[in-house]
Amino acid sequence: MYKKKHLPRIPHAFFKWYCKENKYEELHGDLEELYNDRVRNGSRLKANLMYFYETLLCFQPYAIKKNHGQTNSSIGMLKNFYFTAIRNLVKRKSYFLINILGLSIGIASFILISLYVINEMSYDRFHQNHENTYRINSKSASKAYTRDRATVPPPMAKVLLDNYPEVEKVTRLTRGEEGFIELGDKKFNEGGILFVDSSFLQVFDFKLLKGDPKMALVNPRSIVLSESYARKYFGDANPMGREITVEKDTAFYIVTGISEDVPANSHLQFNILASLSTHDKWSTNEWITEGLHTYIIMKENTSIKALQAKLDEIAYKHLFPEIESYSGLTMAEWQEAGNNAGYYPISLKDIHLRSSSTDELEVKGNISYMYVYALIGIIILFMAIFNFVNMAIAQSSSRAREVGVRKVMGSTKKSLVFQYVLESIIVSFASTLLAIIIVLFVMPYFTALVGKNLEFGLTSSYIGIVLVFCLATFTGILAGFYPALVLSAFQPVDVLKGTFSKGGKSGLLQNFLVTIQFAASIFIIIGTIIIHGQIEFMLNKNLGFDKDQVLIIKRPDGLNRNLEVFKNDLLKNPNVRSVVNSQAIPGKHYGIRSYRKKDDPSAYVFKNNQIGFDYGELMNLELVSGRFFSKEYRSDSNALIINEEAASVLGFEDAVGQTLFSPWRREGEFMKIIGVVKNFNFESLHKNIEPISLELAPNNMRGYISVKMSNGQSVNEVVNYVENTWSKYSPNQPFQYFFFDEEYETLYKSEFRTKQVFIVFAALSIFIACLGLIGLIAYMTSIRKKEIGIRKVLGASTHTLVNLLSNQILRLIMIGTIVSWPIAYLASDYWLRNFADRLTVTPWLYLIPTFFVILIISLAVSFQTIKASRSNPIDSLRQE
Amino acid sequence: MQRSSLGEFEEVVLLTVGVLYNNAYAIAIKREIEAQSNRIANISAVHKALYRLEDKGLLESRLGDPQIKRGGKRKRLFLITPLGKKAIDESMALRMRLRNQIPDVAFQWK
Repeated sequence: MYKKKHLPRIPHAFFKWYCKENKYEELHGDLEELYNDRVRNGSRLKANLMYFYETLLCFQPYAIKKNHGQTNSSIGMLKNFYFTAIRNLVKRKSYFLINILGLSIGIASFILISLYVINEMSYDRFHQNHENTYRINSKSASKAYTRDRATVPPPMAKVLLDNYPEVEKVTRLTRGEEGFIELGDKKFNEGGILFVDSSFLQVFDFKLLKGDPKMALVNPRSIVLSESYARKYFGDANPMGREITVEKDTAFYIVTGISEDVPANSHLQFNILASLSTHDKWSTNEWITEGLHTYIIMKENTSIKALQAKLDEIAYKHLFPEIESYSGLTMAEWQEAGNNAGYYPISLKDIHLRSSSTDELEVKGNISYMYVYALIGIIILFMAIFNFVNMAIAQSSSRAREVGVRKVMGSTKKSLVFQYVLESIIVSFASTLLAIIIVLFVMPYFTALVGKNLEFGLTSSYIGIVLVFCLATFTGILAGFYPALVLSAFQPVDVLKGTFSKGGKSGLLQNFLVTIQFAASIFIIIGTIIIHGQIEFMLNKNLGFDKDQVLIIKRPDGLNRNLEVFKNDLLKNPNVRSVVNSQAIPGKHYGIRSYRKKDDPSAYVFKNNQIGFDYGELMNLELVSGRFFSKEYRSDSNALIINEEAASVLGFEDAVGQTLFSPWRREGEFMKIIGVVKNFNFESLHKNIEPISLELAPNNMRGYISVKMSNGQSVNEVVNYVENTWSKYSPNQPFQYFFFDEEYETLYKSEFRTKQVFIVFAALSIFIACLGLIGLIAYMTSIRKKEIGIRKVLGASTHTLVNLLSNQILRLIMIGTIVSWPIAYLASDYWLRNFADRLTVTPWLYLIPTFFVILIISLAVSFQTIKASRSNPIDSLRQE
Repeated sequence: MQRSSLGEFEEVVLLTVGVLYNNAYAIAIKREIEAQSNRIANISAVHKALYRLEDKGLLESRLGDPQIKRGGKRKRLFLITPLGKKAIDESMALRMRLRNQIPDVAFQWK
């Protein structure tokens, strides 16, 4: 049975457009036959490309409609148009250059931004089943908090697969912590091994280069390496079946497969996959426990609403009984107390940009930033187009005579419009070619700017190139249409009699466009300053703790029992002020603990950190009441410090001395609150401060050691000292450290990127606006040269002339400013709502960018006007 | 009528049309040329040659039956006209004549 394939749309439309009707059937029949044969024998892409190539090849006289344009002579006319255009452009080289430069920068910016947005939008769509793939998230709420996590309890997957026939495949995964990989005598420290179910490679389309995708991850201690990691570990040798040690585990992991490297537009990034069956803890049947990322593929045509109903049912059947037994309440009572819990699905393709969950596996994108980027791209492109339109209108008077003559010779208005649109298309094609070169050239800088590799480049598909040329045509038509109308409307009588004044009367539209350009520039600059201000605000705000001059050592469990000795040794260095170990540091790795009050059944779930002595002093936390942990009190291992927020959630007037129960402790054991600290921002400022509890860390655990240095001068020396001490006590594990303040900034990575992108494009936008303005003024003054000469002869001063020439522009800038302020206000207000703690917007944030823009423009303008008004009148008047 | 000269590629196409008698349409011709001469013939060049030969009166054509794999379109089948045969023969004869006049010594290198 022959299956009909769809021809690529754009080339087909192109062919249909140019092909003679009486030849269409046979010619296109041939092309279609070739296309279909190619699709059947090989790749779709190749067939598409060849089809496109052949439609271009067939664009020849024997196939082209005769009546294109009007008659045969239109080819001659076209030639004439073309040469007129080229002569004109060459005649006014400097304006042509300004036009081309502005347009190509505009188009290049637009292409770059589009590529970035397209890449972000393309996340995870390379999986064949992405339309039907979902991840199950969990959400829960109590009076104190709401949580939205990307994970669900481990038994969820099996329940779904066994009881609901709509669910076709499931897979679960979790990111392992950073681990040391050993390979003979080679050691590597690898962040993020992904532990996955054996069905992982069936749910997702990550191809295996070696190994069997069905069996590779079934057995415990199986490991699949990415291609580049396989090379890194084993070089050119065959890695299959080789053994690797992970984390000093006594048993080996066996390499059972090599996968292709993960594309950049996947939210699942891995270099090492290990089988989830390695650890027994994931086969638990408990529902209140650490979760796994769980993905499902639904069968075709199943409703997602029905799935939601199923998930509610699962929560009711499996989760609620466990909550009842934990809390000792009936479900009704528990919900009465303001608690809730449940699950919901999120589509795979929405995970990157639209997820609101914590515990994501990657740095999330943000759909609202995509809108911002797209907006900037479009603004810059249009600014460049406006320049072009303005220049074209300004110059139109100088081509009036040409129009007059053409009209007298019998040219129709339609063909004149066609001529001038064609001219602007020529310019826009030239600019596009230049833009493509710019894009290819600056691509590496751009990827560094946005901080990510792009999976699609300009040249990765023929569609990209086709689209770019569509963009060129579109830009050309958009930019050329209005000037063409203006030009073709000239009356030959006026023009040829000589009564037509060349004066640079600027039309309403021109003023309008200039105003919009400046409004847009000021808008972008205000945006940049507000983003910059907010980031600075977040980094410098009094966070409630001290993040400077703190060196953090990762994985102190490598010290085993030597922790105390290690700490004491460090303190011997005069530049080390204090040393503390903790499970979490602000922004990283907080656990959660739930507590109950005496005689109150409801559970209070707080973020939790396990800390060593001196933590409060090192972080410079402020106590509201009570005290920090101290070595003098033996009972402190059962003591608790909470923050103000937690105290108010618990409803304690005076929290110190109160006791709480914790299900993590033995039955009947209670914990005494010994201190309340002032609220501090222990997570990013995107969030409000949550309740937190601090407990004393049991001896040595994974986590961090913070080393506070006494001053910034001898940093290197201290780092060396710490490293030497480390290798004394932990000879086998590498020393890994970072500086806390630098690490803390990564919480605001996406804001940083946005800021940098904004700065670059703000600079470009102002550059394009100035370019246009300089061109415009240069042209105006050249037309008014004689007027200026006469005014000077009659006694006008340079000062009055500068005023005369720049007056109007300044007025337009003022209007632009007034337009941009309210828009910038609304936009920044919308953006700042992303943050719990925001910068207070002062008028200076608006005034400074405005002054800045005015300053730059005045510089650009005054250079031209001063030059014009200081010229010697003899030069301009002597000619006749 | 002026004496119409045959281009090299045109000649190959003309001959192939004869070879493929009754099934000579553009794609078949393209494939035949590729199979026999080991060179790539692009489809547009074949079209161009066919139409030019038809204009010169060396070929005549009719439309065939519609086919599904051509999207339900008919193909144009070409046949050699008597004038076409004459052109082939003349060209062959000219070549043979010239070939035979080459003195043997011209082929003796060293």
